[in-house]
Amino acid sequence: MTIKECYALIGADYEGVVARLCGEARVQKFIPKFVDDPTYADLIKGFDEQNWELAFRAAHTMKGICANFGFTKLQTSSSDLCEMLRPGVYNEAAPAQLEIVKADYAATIDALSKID
Amino acid sequence: MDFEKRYRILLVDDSELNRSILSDILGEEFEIIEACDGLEAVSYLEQHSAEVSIMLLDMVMPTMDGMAVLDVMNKKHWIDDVPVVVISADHQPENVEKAYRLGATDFIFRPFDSYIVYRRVVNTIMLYSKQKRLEELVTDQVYERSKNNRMLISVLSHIVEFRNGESGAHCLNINTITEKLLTTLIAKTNAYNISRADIPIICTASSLHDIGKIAIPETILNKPGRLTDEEFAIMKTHSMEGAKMLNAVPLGGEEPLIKRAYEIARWHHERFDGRGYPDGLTGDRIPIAAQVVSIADVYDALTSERCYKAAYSHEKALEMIMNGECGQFNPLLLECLQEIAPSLKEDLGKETALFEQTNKDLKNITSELFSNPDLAGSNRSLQLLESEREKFRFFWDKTNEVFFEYYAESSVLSFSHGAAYLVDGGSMIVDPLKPGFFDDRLNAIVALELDKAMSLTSYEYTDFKSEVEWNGAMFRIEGKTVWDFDDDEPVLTSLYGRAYRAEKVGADIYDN
Repeated sequence: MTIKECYALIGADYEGVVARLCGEARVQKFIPKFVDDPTYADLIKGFDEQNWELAFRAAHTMKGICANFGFTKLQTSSSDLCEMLRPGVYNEAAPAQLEIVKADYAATIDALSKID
Repeated sequence: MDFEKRYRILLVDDSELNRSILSDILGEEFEIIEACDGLEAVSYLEQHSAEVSIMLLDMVMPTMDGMAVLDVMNKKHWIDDVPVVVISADHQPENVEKAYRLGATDFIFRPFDSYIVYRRVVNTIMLYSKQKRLEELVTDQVYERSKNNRMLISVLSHIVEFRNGESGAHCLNINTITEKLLTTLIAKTNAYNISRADIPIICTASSLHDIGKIAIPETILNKPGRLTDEEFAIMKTHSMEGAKMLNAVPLGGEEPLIKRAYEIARWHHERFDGRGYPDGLTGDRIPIAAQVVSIADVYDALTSERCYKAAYSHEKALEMIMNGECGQFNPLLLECLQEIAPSLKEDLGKETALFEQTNKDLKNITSELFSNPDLAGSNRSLQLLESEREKFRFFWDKTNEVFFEYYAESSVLSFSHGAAYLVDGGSMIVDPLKPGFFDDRLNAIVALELDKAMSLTSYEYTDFKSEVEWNGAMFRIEGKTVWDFDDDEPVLTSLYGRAYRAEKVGADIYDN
């Protein structure tokens, strides 16, 4: 599967990322880094340990990274989660929102693994 | 564009992935230093703030976040020299506003466009380096004009010191301590209404704190034992005498330098609890410049050897000041003294050359100048310096002692007017070091001594003394050489000093 096909599969913004990173070469270079990035693990750890500061920071980082990569769905769900975790405004809907993020993340990683 | 990595970017982001993308965009043309949180960034700036051309700063980070970094950069004044571009996914207006208020130059939102990041970094760096070049230009001009003033002030304060049997380092030490105390003080409070531009003025004025001692008889000044009550009463008049002299400077009252020098000369022996002299002022009724210089004076007096006492250690001196053994001081200033204590011990050990001091002052002056949106201010500052120069010419002309200064570049040796009158000839000798040069006027004798003085001094040891016979009397010549660096090699740029009759130190040499 090409990067373009992979992006189409998860409804991500391929034209956007190529324009922002000035070419597919850079997209290709950084996608493996996204797969290995510790931010998702930090988010899960934050919830497991009820360390809401860590969870907020991870959600915030995730939102920023996804915005750059054009992973629209994961960006939206992690951005919503981030707002629920913003210091001082913890929201009881956060665990449910985390499940959505988990699903979007799994779908993204799965699609990225299919790139040749 | 090709910047050949001439500029350094400090990249602060806790996400390795984000750092590597930005490094990829900018790394080819710029040198990149990565910091993974605010604490790392601050500790890097602590050592290298002058080498950083721009900082890219993430907001949400562990340990120390972006706002806290901006806070520290304000406190330490790094924000004046290092432009900060914030890169954040946080679009909340209050956070954006706060970052701008704390001095951020620009804001880039995620997702960012690589080309725009690149352009903004380039533009910001170019803008700042253009400003730096301008700043250097003005600094050079101001430096040229003020160098001579500083030298004349230094000549004056040296007269007082030599007569007083103090080492030539006393004024320089007081300068250094005063500067450190004031810098620390204005970081703590705005209560005293002192700006960074006031600091060099107060430091320069501090050199004149003991000028009134010219009016005190030598026998009292240099008496080895304890002073009698009567003698001490005479000694105490030096603060008021100094104030009177400064007050007599024509039109001086309006000039900040003379105004500060007056405050310092008159009140540097006042104490916070009112038990000082001459006026017994209490608390902050003592002008802050005088309060600061009085602490600097006491510290330096304690740690120096005098004709009536040995030198105390840095630690002992500090303890004595803190315990109130030298009178009560402003508690806030004592706090500042504690903070600068470690650096004092280090810095006062080494000889500070005059030009280094001047350079430091100028950096203050110009940075203040440029933080002022109105660049026309620069002209005004130059005029101010010019009028100071006039004033020191006045002192120079009025004194009857033989002062001289020699500039290596022009090879001109000039004398104070009193001396020129005495020695029957112009106040200038061109090329005094020419082989075979000889005549029997005193200024010529001095000229002959220059050769010796130059070979005896070095960048580390700038003071010289010698004795010569002239018209059947012994004359002592003492002075100081000033050095600059050319390709890291110290080069003698100028020399100044005075000559006086050995039997009657400090008196007019032609009054009998």
